[in-house]
Amino acid sequence: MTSFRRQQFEQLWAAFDAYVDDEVTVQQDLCIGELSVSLTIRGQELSRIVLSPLRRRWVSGNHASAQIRVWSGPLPRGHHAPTELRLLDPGKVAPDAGQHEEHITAMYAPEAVTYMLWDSQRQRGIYWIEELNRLPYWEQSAPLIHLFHWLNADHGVALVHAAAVGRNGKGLLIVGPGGTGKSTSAIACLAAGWEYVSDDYSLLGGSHPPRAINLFGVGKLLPNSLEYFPELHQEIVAVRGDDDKSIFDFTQNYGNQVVDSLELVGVVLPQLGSEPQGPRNISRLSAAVALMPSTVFQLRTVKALAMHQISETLRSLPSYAITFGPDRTQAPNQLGALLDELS
Amino acid sequence: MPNQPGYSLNPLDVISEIFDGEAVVIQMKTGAYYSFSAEATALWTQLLSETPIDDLISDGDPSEFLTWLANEELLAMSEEASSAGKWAEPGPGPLGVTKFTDMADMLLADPIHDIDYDADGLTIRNEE
Repeated sequence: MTSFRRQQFEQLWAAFDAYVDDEVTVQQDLCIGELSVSLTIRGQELSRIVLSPLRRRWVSGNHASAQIRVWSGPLPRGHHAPTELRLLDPGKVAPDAGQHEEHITAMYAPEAVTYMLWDSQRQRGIYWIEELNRLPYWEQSAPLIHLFHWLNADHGVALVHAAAVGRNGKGLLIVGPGGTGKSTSAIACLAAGWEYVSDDYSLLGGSHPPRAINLFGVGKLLPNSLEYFPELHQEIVAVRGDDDKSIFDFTQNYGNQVVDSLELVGVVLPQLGSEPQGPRNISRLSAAVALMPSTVFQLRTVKALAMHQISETLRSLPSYAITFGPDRTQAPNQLGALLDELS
Repeated sequence: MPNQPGYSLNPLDVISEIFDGEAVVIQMKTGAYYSFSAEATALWTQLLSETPIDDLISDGDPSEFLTWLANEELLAMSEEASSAGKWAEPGPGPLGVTKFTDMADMLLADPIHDIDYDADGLTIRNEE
């Protein structure tokens, strides 16, 4: 028997095929770690927004094991939005994925009138926003992030709110809530020639050792941090309206430094201070408190396999606090000393 | 009939992980999160395995801590246990718990960051 949620998914999935206009549809395969996914996006503008930050993940000729359909605008005649999703308890999460037959994860964002659904069983995703001009600003730098979270979680890979940078294939995971210096230190490392996975959202996969895996090839900085990196100004592609953060596209001029993944050798909790201070050992609990809540609260859906990966990563790596001084461009020196010691 | 634990946990709203004998506990609904000392974690671990209140092993009286957990919505007390006087007045987290509320606003404001979670807002649930 087909469940109600399955029916909702299938009806919305089918709606994508029912348009009879001549709107452009763009198809792009991505390789994310060990996974391959095919995106099909309706509309040039939406395609540009979604695909640009993912440029380093583009591949051709792969056999994609997952499919995601992305579109905006009214549904074709005879098709209806799954408005029942709006009536479910807000903020409810389920602890696991993939345990149920016909497993569907669903999310509705009311302000943007956006529906996101993931079919763990058949590895298919839907992102439908009713009006493109209501596209949330964060989609410019982290498009489809919930769908990528659910897709990866099905395969034991965790999307985390953390930066990751490194050299010679070895890297540090930089954790902490917003405003602690993750982005600034990661982008300072990129400017210094380091390998770059992310300044904000990284994927964690594997064990012995765990790896940080690239998803988006972008970065973000607040205006007061921009002054440290004049050489990067030409990489700015947008300025977000809400917080004036500049969004950098590193996939072109710095594309060689945006690496597929890094072997992690340590976890760093950055702190900002008046004087730089070298690395100090911190407990795994401290690292977990810095990483897990901000990840869970941002992604909102808790997936057991992803939580297990996060826990195992933190358990397997040493953790340190580093205080960066007022000159953020010195962050690579401090991080580099630690990386050399651990590599 | 097996001894009832006297409380219930809500795995949909509360997530916890233990590192080196200390737990990080996240309350999804309120946006608060906590680091538990080894002593609190020892008791928390027993609660996770649904040890009945009367069988809990603790250096002191665990009832104050249990009531504090209930007030933080980290567990719910049963009516039977409550009426049997197994719950104390709430304490300040007497077993060495640090509470963090710096991310509570993220539930209302931040995007993935800032998605809204109002009354009929963002909806997240897995199919049963």
